[in-house]
Amino acid sequence: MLRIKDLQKTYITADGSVQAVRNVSFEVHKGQFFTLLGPSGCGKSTTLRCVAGLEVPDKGEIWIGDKAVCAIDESKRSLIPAHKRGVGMVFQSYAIWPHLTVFGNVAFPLRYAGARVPKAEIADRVQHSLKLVQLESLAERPAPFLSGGQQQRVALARALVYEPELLLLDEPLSNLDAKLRLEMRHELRELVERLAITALYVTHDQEEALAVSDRIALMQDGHIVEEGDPRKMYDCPDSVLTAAGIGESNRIEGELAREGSEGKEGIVSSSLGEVFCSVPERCRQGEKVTLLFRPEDVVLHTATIEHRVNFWAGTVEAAVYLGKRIECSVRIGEQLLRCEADSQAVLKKGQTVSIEVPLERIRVFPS
Amino acid sequence: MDRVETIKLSWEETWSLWKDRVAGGLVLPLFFALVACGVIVLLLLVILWMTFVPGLPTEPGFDLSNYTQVLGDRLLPTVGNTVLVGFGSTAFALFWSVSMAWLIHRTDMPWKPLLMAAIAVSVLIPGFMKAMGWILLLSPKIGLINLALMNLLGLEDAPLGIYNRFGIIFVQGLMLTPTMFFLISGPMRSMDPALEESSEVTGVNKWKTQFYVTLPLMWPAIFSGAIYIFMTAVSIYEVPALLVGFGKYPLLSTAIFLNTAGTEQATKLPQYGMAGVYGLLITIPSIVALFFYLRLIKQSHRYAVVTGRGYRPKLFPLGRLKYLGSLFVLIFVILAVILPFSVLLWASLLPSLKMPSREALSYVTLEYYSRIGQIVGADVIRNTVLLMAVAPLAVLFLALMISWIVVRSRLWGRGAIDTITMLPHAIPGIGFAFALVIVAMLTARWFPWIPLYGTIWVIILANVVNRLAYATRVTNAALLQVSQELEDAAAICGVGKLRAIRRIMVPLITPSLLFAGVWTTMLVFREVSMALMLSNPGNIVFSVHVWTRWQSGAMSEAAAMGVVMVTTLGVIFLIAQSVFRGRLYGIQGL
Repeated sequence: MLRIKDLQKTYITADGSVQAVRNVSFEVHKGQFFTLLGPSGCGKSTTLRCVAGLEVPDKGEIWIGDKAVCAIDESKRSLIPAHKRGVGMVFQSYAIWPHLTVFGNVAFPLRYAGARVPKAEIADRVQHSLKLVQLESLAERPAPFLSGGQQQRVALARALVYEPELLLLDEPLSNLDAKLRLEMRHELRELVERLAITALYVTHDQEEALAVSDRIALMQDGHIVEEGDPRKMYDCPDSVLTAAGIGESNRIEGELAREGSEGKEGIVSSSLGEVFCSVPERCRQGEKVTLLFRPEDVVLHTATIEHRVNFWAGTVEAAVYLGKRIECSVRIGEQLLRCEADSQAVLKKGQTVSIEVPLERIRVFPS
Repeated sequence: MDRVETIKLSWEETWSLWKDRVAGGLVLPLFFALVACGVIVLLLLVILWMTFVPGLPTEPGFDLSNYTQVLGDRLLPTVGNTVLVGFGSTAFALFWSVSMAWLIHRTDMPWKPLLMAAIAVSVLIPGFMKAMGWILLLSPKIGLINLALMNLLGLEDAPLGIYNRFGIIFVQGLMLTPTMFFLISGPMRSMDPALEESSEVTGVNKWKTQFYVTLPLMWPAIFSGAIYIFMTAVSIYEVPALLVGFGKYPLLSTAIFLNTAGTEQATKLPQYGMAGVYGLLITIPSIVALFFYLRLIKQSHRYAVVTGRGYRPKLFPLGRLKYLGSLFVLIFVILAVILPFSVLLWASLLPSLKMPSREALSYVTLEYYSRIGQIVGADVIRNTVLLMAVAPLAVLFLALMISWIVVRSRLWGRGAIDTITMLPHAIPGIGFAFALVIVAMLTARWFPWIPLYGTIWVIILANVVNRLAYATRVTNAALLQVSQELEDAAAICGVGKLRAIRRIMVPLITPSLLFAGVWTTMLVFREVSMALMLSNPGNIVFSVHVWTRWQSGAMSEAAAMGVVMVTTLGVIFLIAQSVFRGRLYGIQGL
């Protein structure tokens, strides 16, 4: 449905040039919910705006369906302007036109875009679209009198009213308060699924990306670091950048003391001492490696138990009660580990605890 | 999160980018923006150039004789008087405006809407008419207040005088107060109440909070406004000319006028070179002041007092003092509006000024109003209507073109365009009027087909240049308010660029443009100083006519015409106000 090849974009500002997107390529299949995830300034919004036609890339190809909307390299330059690409888009600021009513905003594309739509049909389609976002009752309200959540829905209705096959969403939830954000997240996902449209979604919120996406591409410094489905991106990422970029993790530097062989785990010596873990085959003895494991994978024991594999004693440095769990940091020698405990546990600062990290939960990356 | 590399652009890259952008639909706006900036810079250069020309601009010669002549021509007292009058007027205007802005926007004083409307109305009475009104009240011979006091106290001589520097400061202060009031109203209203609440929570009492928190936060706005007011005050010459004449109490502004236009009695030939030196003496400090003004404006943004979000500032409870607050504002309204206007109205009904009495009432006649038709010829009406129609349209068009470049493009040099268009904000109108006198003379000589010399077009041009700074502020704000995303959204919906401009941009900026247009129309109608300097039998406008009638001693006629002028302005104001539903108050600048 959407194919992007070797996209490059350099911004020229008064202070010099900024390479916003460097050689980005990816493909989104029909009906897929695809997310570009990354910190601000990583190039995800620029990529999205290139797809929309609001930015012109320096180089690269963009295909929507079987139509090349943009193909630029040294020798050729073909470009379809934004208003002829037929995509829907929800802006971060919603971009609701303040001089029009809700109805006027949603009807705008039907009234003034290329194809003339008969008046009676406009009213029907606008009503239908407003129904999708549950705003039918507010059609006559002037845009400045809408709450943030309502503006969001109007923006969505406006993007859907002309039934685009591709929907672009530029951080659409970032201006909503936390509770509304969760609600809208589910609604959005459900709507995209029901209408069977393809969605390209841009966000910096990892949890949001994991929750809504069929597929995630993590971006950094204008590159795509890694691409995959949410489970793979979180559970077994290919690169340490992805593991560090999505979710929280404990990161420990060490040196491979014993290579792993068939059925036998390797040993890494680190500031924690000897750590047993499954080591990728390409790692050699003496090589520097990075160990990563999630706070929720750490098992915390308050009672004394017999020694086990990957088992250390430490003291509680901080414990924060969060209702459904307790987040704490535990000091083991020089190393500070983040871990989670059951909310029923009683943890005090300075308390001695034992820590266990199941070896299959530790991921090893060559440094 | 700034991990992006930045690379400096070479000249060639900048140039090619520039060419790209120019090709991208900016040619027309850029052309007009450059023309406007070119005219402003050219006029400033004309002032500078004239200071070295000993005779007429069309004659050869280039020396420093003008400077030596100015040095010998009471330069120190002239500058001293100017600074004194400037500071005096500014201080007087600050006293009224800061107190009234605080009372109206930040306290629970009663009758606020009414009093605020009255302050706005005071703008409608031009400065020279305030001066005329106060002459009729305080002149030692005929002044009604003086006569009343002499009767009441049995005095031989008039106790109050107006024909001196205090008279100038008094009238100019009253005249500039509403400008200052509206300049600081915005920051005063949009202050975050949390800044004051946090002070009170830490245990500082309400009055101290106002003094140590509110006032310092207002300081950048007050100071930058004061700079502007000062520059305006030193450039007004119609008020000093009416009150002290040209010779007795020399000021830079009257010296420019005197050396450019000569006097009524024509005892002195114009000395353009000397006028240029005096003009330079006003212009250079103005540019320096503008520099500080712009820096202060930037700083006041840093203070983040003005966030634009709908704050509802907490109102300061005045308690029993609240009626005193209303009385204070009312006194200003009496001084600035009610007294001068009623005395003009009274004078327009009598052959000569008399104390109101049963006997005086028997002389009341409408003759002077019926005479206006004969005195004011069709040409004056034609000139005035042309001025009121063309100048606002031209100003708004140019301002829109300039803002398009400044706000919507990323062109190199747009900052310079923005700054140059700010120059008329600080540089007095008489400076530009003087330069235009010279330019008109030169074009009459070298390009006689350009209709500038002695025509209404030169007055229109002067007004366009003079109002440009203010108009670009309005259009900048209007365009900024239409964020790029609003247009991007239209493009995404499949709507083409021109149609998006028509359906999104135009409806969103039209109210601001109408608003600025109405004000410009009123302000160019009441403008007299530039029009007078450029006046010629062929291009007389209504305000100039009032002024010259007064100077030639036809007091009742001048008063009647003044009343007609104020009434016309009032009608425009009322119509506009009903269209804009009261939003006219937000406007600044005179």
